[in-house]
Amino acid sequence: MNKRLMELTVNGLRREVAVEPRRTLLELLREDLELTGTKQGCGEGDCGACVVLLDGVPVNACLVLALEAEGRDVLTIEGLARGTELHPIQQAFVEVGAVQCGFCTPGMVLTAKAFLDSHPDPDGDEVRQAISGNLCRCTGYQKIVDAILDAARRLHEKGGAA
Amino acid sequence: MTLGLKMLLPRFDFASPATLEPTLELLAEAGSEARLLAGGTDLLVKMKRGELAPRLVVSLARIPELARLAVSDSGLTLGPLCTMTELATSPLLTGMPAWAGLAEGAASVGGPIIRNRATVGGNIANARPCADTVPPLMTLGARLLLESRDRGLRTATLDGFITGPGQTALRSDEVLTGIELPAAAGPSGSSYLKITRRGSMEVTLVGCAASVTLDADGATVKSARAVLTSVAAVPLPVPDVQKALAGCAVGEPALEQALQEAAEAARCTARPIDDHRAPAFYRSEMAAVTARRALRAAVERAAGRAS
Amino acid sequence: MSEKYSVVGGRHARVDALDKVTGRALYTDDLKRPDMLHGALLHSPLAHARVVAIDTTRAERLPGVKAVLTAKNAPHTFFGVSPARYDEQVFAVDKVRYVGDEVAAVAAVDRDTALEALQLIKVEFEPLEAVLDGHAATGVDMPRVHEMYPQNIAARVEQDFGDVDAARGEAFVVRRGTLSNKMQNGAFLEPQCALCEVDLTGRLTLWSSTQAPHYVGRTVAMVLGMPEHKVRVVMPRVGGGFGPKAAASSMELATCLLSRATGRPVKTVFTREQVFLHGRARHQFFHEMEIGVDRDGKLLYLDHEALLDGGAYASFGIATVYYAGSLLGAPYRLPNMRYRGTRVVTNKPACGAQRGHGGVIARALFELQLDLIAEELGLDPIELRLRNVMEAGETSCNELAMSSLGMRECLEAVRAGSGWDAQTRRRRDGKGIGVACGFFVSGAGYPIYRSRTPHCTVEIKVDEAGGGIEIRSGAAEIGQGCETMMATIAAEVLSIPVESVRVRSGDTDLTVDLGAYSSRTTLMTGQATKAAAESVRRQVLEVLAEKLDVPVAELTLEGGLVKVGGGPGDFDAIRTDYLKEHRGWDDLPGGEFLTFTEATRLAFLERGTIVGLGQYRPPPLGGSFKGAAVGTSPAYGCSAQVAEVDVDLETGQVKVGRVTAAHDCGQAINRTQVEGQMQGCVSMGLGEALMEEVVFGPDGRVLNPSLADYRIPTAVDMPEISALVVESNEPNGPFGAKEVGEGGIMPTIPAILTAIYDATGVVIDELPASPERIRDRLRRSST
Repeated sequence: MNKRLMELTVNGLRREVAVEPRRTLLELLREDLELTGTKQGCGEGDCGACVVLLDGVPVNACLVLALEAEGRDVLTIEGLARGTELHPIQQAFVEVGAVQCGFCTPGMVLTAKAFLDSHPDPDGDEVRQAISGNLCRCTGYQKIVDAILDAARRLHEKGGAA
Repeated sequence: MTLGLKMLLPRFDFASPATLEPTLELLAEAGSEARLLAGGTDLLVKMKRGELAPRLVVSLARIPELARLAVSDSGLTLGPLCTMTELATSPLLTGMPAWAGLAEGAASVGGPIIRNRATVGGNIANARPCADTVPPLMTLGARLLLESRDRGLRTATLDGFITGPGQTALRSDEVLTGIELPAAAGPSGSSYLKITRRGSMEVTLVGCAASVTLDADGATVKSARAVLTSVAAVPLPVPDVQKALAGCAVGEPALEQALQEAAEAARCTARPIDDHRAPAFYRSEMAAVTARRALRAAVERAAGRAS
Repeated sequence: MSEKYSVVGGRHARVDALDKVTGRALYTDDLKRPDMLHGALLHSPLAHARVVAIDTTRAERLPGVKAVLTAKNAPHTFFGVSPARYDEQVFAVDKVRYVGDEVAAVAAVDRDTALEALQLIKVEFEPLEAVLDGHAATGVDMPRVHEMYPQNIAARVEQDFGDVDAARGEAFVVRRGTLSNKMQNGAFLEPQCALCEVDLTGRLTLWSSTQAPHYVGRTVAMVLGMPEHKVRVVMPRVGGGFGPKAAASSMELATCLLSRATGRPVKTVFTREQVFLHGRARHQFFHEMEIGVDRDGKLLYLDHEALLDGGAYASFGIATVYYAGSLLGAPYRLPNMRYRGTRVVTNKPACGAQRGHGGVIARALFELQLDLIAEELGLDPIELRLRNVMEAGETSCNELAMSSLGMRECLEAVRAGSGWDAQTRRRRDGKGIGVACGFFVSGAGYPIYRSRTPHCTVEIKVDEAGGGIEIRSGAAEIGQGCETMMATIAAEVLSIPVESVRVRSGDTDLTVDLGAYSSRTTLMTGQATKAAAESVRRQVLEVLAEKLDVPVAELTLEGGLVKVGGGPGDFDAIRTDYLKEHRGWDDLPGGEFLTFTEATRLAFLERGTIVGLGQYRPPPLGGSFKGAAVGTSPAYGCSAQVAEVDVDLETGQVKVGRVTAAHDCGQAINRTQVEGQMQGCVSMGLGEALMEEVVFGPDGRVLNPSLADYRIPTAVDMPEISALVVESNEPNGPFGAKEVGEGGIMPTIPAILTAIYDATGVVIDELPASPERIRDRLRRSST
């Protein structure tokens, strides 16, 4: 077994873990760090359920080696709310009704966060493009798009990205 | 008996050097037992499916010069680690009609999340018949920079570099360290179009890249190239496009006629297979449609019209 | 918010949304148990073969392997969905019947070891000729997939209502058409997963990503030979079901067997490829219909024949082949109907129930034919339908009783909402608009196994401290929102905030509930919840009436308060206990109204723990003819949709620009959730219409077992969907509610097909209407 010690920041906390090179970031998060909020839907980058933010950029954690995240910053769904205070995107998802089975939700919310951080004033088509790598089977995407547009408005009122 | 065995990576050694030299060293020693890791969106999938099991995986991610993207008088230089997102959104590409086809090719790979990781170097080295940046790069006359410990730097044209599905002229001890696109010799435009069943996350069913350069006066076609994807084992240049379009005046009926000829040449040259994604007859038909549309868009971009 | 109700009809946030949006929600693969082992399954690589020998010795000897199971050391008990067609066994006993059929299972200390063990199992097969074509399957020379199905026919339906032949003689226009599809996949985001643990008393708990814990629990008990009360099935959060998760699987049973064999918890999770191998999704249908109308466009008869290719096992197929015929009995007046349906088995993954069950492709052809009939008569397609719609109170030729039916209202709603009248149709330039209707049950009238059992029971326990209630139910929350529905109904009855209601669901230890299928939960479990809440209300008010010495009828609950004759009362005498008990608390209750908290606390002090029990069993339904049970329901939902398309005539690609959908759900319990179900239905329908198909190789393998190659719509493929809720106030439903989760898919495929016809003149007879298929049809019609 060729485990290596590595350090990375997850949800603002420095974490030290020993991992084999073959460990994916998804496995590291779900199994070693017990952050099960990030989901596995396919393991091959086809569905977006495993999206996390790596240095602010949405990536499929199932196709990133854990060692590739060494020294870098990972944000998972568990890191978005501040205690019980939800991020405006999470609030919008809840209030607009963008959550049904919830399995696509963590990846979808994080993709939306990264998108709104760099595109604070999108239109519906731009939102759809941005989430076109996150599959959802339950909602037909309508309320997800509505929620992201609503979140953009909320963030704007709050005075910028949160 | 290996159904359902996917989703776990096999064991391997891993290295992530910070500069090129130790990388070349590792490759020279390990040869075909090593694989280079760029964005991982192809390599890791193949490894999870049991199609590849390298002893050593060498990541290029920490070598900054491999991610450069620069424009100079002599043209455009890209590092192999430029991601699809970078190429799709960089003003250096999107703002320049000459390079717009490359931006479109990059923007059409997979979906937005995949594009954050997938790299142009990976797209070339993996040599899938459906690769979306290779045809645009070919129409733009791309030259590849290849480095190895034992032979130093060599260059090669992208044309002919890909020899079969998953096969290139890249040697096992080499790293693709740069891609150079020469500056166009006149007003120039390029484009890339692809046919898919759904709007995102699609393997290209048929695609065509086109690049057109006009005379200095911007009124007549000087040179034109078109390259098809997914209609053969390798990206396929469409023959006689240059012959058909050269000398045609923009906006004149002769150009329309030339586009029809080019489309027909595309249809005839395509040698697609029937597979579970699309039947051969459809790919041949769409080779014509995409060739015509891509060439027209390239002409219009070269002439400065919105397309 | 409706004026009638305080929470029903509103847009309260889902009760499970906070957990889901923060990553706190736990799905089966998020669970761990101490000493847990990893299970893995060995699948057949051949579509049809005799199992000659299996050698597991090397696998058993691999360090870290704790159990290896095959038919040699596992039960051979037959199971399935309909008891009359139990044809599945946990592991292949004498033969394998599809690529993916389970042959063995292992449990090991980690997944690597489990997978390595699988590779060490040596199976000797004797290949048999495979039956891979639904039409060819019934041929006399074809091998039998199962001994019990001669000619590979698992079910045959023959139903005659009225006199089709006589009606044919009177028809002014007769239209014939065919439509077929391909096998589909549920494509839920969460792959199946099962975790089993047997405690030291021998009681088994199975956590599973299922939508039918009740049926799964019975099957586990039957196959493992255990008393039912020793088996508990629990649903953690489930990431979508849509039908394929509505029956017990070999994976779940193998996981239980492994746990029992090792004495340790075992977890097995499907890869996405295994989800495709398992299948249990929409059948392949081949429909042939002949419809006759009179000169006014009134329907006279339907002559309908259907062949269903259902893969290697019967699964839900009996119900499927019945639904394919029976669901066309309404929502139009159809006096004469003949139906011949055949459900065959082939050597492909088994098909089961999927959203809309057997009615989806049949409805698509029927509606497409109506469009062509309208054209032939020079009638607007909406007008033709309006001339035929049934009204509430009518009964169909196959004895389906419309206790409510807002079909007319749905059509009017989409006509107005889409601007239908202003649109130019039949342009044939690539732009088109189409309309279609749909119809579905609100729960099957009978359980899958013969039984008098209530279809669901619900228990509501009032907190002894007062103020809050806990709903306990075996109901299956798969994302459709049933926990929120139950909380809303209870909150409405008791006039308390939804926040005061807790819901525990999906656990067979709680109550009986048949599960989430046939779109039953809102009507049936909703009714049981309402009854339980009303019981709580009655018990609490009885105590208060006695204490206050007023007739119970004078007491009401409003906004969390108790009122006397609608107004204030003198509660000082009866609130003293509560005040004494709560010495030290700030903001004690007082004033002219008693709070719900005080009232329920008082009720506990007087009577002990207050529990309300409710149950639902449909009244006897349906006719006396064979198969009458399938299609009968206490209520029926209906819907209409208008789809607008833009077809690239050169490439055949179809872009759906907008969908206007109207659905009669009786009464929305939660308006946002109803809209969400409608929109989700449209996305699955759009996918099946344009892009979804399971592709098989000549050897029976699934060639596209991935979400890359089995395409479901992405956000850029879906149009804006305008969801219009119609409320016809169903008398058999709680607060007038009936289904929405499945019926909403019925109009989608035909709305798109009729729009494609409008845009191009191409009549699609084979789904999916992929670009190459449309190009092919366009090319042929122009030569």
